[in-house]
Amino acid sequence: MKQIWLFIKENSKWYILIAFLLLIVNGAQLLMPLFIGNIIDYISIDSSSTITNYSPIWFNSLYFTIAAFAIVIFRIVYINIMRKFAIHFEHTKRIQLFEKYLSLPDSFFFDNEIGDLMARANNDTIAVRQFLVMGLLSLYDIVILGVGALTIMLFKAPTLTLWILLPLAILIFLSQFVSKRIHKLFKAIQETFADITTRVRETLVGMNVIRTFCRETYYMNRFVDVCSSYLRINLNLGKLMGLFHPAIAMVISLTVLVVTIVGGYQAMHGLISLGTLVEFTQYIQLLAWPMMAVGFVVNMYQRASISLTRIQEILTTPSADAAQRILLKPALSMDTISIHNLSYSYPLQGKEYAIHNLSLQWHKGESVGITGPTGSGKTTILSLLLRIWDPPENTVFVDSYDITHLDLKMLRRQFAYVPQVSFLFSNTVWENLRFGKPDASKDEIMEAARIARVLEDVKKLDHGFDTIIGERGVTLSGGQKQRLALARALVTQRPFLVLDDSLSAVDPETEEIIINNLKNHLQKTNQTCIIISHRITTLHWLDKIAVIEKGRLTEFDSPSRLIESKKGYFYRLYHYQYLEGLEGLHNGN
Amino acid sequence: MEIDPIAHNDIRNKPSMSVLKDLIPYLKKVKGILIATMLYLLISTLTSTVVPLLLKTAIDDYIIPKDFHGLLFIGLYSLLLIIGTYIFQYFGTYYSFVAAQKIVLDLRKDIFHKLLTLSNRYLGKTPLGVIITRTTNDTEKLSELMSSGAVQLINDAILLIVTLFFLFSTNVTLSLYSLCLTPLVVWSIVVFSKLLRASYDLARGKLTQLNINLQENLSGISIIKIFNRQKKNRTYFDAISEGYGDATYRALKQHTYFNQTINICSFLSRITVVVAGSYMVIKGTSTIGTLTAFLFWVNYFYQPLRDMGERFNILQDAASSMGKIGDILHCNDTIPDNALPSPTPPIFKGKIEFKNVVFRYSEEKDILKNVSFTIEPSQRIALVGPTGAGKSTIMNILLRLFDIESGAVYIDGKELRSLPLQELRSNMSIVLQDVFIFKGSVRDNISLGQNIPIEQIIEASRFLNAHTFITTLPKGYDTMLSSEGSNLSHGQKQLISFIRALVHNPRILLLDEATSSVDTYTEKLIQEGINKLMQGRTSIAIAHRLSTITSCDKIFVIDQGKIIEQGNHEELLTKKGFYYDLYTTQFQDSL
Repeated sequence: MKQIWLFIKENSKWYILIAFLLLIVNGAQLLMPLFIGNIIDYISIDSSSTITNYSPIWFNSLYFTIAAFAIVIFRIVYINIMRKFAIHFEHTKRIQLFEKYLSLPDSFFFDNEIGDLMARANNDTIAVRQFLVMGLLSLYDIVILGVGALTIMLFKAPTLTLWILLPLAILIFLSQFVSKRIHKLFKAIQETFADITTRVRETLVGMNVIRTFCRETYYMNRFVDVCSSYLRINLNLGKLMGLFHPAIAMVISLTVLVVTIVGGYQAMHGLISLGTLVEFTQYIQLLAWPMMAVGFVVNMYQRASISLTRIQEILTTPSADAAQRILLKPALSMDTISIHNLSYSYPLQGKEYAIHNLSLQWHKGESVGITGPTGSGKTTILSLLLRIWDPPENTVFVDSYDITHLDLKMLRRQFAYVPQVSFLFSNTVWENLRFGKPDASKDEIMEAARIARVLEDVKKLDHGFDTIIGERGVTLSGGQKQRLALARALVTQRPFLVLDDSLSAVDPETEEIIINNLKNHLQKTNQTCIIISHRITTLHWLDKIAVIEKGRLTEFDSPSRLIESKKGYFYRLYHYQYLEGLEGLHNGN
Repeated sequence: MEIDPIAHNDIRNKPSMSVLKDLIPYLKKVKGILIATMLYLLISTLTSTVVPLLLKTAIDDYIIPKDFHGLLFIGLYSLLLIIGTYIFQYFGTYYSFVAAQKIVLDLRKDIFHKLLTLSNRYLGKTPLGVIITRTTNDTEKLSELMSSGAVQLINDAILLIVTLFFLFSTNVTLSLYSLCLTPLVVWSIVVFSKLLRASYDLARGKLTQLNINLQENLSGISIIKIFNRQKKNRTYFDAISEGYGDATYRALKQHTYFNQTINICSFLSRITVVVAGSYMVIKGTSTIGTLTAFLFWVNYFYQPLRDMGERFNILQDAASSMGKIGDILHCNDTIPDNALPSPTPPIFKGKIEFKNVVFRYSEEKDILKNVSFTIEPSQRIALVGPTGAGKSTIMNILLRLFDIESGAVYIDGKELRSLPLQELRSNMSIVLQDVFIFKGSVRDNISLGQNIPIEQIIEASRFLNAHTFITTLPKGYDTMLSSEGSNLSHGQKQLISFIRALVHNPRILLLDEATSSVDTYTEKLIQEGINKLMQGRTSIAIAHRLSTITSCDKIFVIDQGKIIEQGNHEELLTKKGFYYDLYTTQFQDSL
């Protein structure tokens, strides 16, 4: 909660003004019953029919009216000021979170569900905002109104006031009892609700699997299970709410009852006036709000402090670059890339090495292919090179700079990356293609689309390049998505092109055309290129092939020499895919 | 991102209240509870409004005449009444929760059940987030309606009527004085409720927009970073967040204006009661007790009015949510399944026949144009052809994920649509290029909740050469996988999907580019495994790499929705047609 006090301190001038206005409003509220009491006293002095002077009634009601207008007007003013600040605070926190998300290392996103990260940026910031307005106001009201009313009452009729504390104690006790339990239940409700969301989401995404395996009933039951426990928790909440909500009204009624009997007794014996008695019933109505607010503020405070902790948790997570000592920003020429004795294990998988003592080197303009069995560590190498995961120090170098010492943004600006699973944004084809280079010209985009062999496909769409794609747009085939992702990378014209098995859904004929286009393009631009693939047709034309098996580099040479050696993984790959094909051809003939 | 593709989508016109009639069947189910709730609340409202009347009697009849015994007596009355009210309110509140939660559970079940039957056509064009919101947040809105909206609205109405009754039965003239500002109150309710509805709708729309943008940024975060789009995306998000802030501020400001208008009316009514009451007391036409009771009743009268805006807001929200839920519940776009599954599902022989099948996803383009072919039981078939030729479509039709436009499909001589869906699908398994991993253990992901002995699973994974990789996972077959499957490589996920297909013991196995991310050796081992496991069963495979299908019994070459060649590998090569060209070009390069 330090953040909140800090924020209030920063804007202390305004908050002092607000406190001042609140004081006027609360003061006016406290005076109101007095005016009514005065009038009652005046008309109940004696046999009231002797009264001929009505001016005390009019004066007191004039004061009452002035107080009423003051309350309403000042309230509008300070609530709006507070709201402005609170919304500003909410917005600032949200933007800070957004920026933080963009700067956190990718490893962070493996451990955190997107839904949860979203909740922090909206539900949590909203909870903090609500506390900053309603929470603070109620807190102030409790203190000033509650204490003020009780002081005036004590001053007017001390014994009667002490009697009133009796039913009030019940309420305080009850709210203590209930609020902790409600808080726990709220947390459980939130968690179960998140479970429901997860269940629906996975059912929708995996719908075809469920359907084709006829597992509808099983997944239905799984869903009903969570929903039923959600119901159970909510009914527990219902019991507590039933206990607590009507209790407020009950305590107010009880207080009125105490005032009537004790106050009535005192009025009968002339210890207090009838006006004071009526005044007290009014003060009790005034006290009702702070009484209710105690539970409410405690709730809000707890929610806001949990939320703020959740927000700060993210904001204090070290960014991808935070571990850096001095960040170098040299002008990179990307002449050489070298990997030196690299061993790496994923943070969560203990000592299991994903990469084992691996060394590799290549030069500008060279194109390198990486291949190897499923799960051997191919993608891991790329992730380390692009610092999606951070490699150990002194293992990966660009132009003889250790990449862990380089400014992350400037390092990544060297790479045009095509991921294994293509993610496109809900936007037009245009916007998706110029994603990495917002000022790309139309010609540049068309050229990239041509190289990636997706130009014709785009033209066939209903609105051509203006068609909206992504989740909320038209559905594209896996191959089309991959080719768009390739085009998106080509538009950037960055010196180093990276393809992570990015043509796996493209049919061989189209792939061949793309490879030819790429070959020409690379020659023209002298771009460096790295391609992960299982297919000989994707790999055979490259300058060098690296074979990774169980995290180790087992072969590294030009494809022709690897084939001539007649042994090793790449040769066998060639043998299976190509020679078997040839065999098939002969059999056919 | 100058264009905002979602703007046109998120501010939906609010449906009228009439959509709430969809709730009636759900309400009927909890009729008893609802009636009990109403009764409890009615009684508690009645009893709580009586308290000021007792106060009046106490002042006028006992305190002023100084009768302490009478005062104690009426005090005892009140005490019983207060405790009674509390008990009734406890049950009223609790049962309103019960009703709300039961309705929500039923609704969720129905929506979920509906989702399982909706056609892929429908699901494909509806964004994921929208359907999730329908099942979660929108149903939640209805629980809010039940527990605080509708019940409270009725409660408020009772409170208003009862209060009015007490006011007028106690003193008509004073009642008229205390209600003189009512026209102003009614006017402001009418004006503000319209304004508020519009501004809250706007704010909600902005929040949706914020969520969509956030979700997309988080899903594509690594792409954003690698393409260095942080600044631009931040600026855009900043603008959306600011827009949301402005809209919220406006809505809340209007709400404050409304509240304070009601407040000032309430204050002025109270002082009017005091002044008019005083004159009447002086003239002897009223009493101080009456005056005090009136001060309470005026408060009771204004309380529901103050909350009216909020209640209507909840009602409006619920109506709009119910409308959207209704869209799903009433959607006719389901896969028709008329026949009931027989108690012992028949085991297919695996003969498949397509007769003049025409299929299209959208009006503009036919995907399959008059396709006919026959597959004999236990044949191994491959589908070959360029992207978009219609290969996957054939599999989707067989599984009845989509239904055909015209023509007919037969399995073992029976028309496809005459077979109960469950019988049909339990005889088939499919392995897709994109694998979906559910949150759960490796074992659960393979068995999909079916009671399959672990030995059978291990045997299948041994056949597919996946057993070794699974045993190296931290907890072997009990290793928990996340829904994104981030702890497995793409190829490993495909292996899991293979085991999944095989342990379900299909008579017909469909493979749609199932080994695209698996290396060549693993692929070979998988094929050997399949050959063993699928003996005597029918299989259909789509493959881009022709070397993997040369040993198939029959190859269908498909181009632009038509089968242009069929035969085995040798026959097709000798034909020197489309297949021959495809095959030779795949190997020419490496020569």
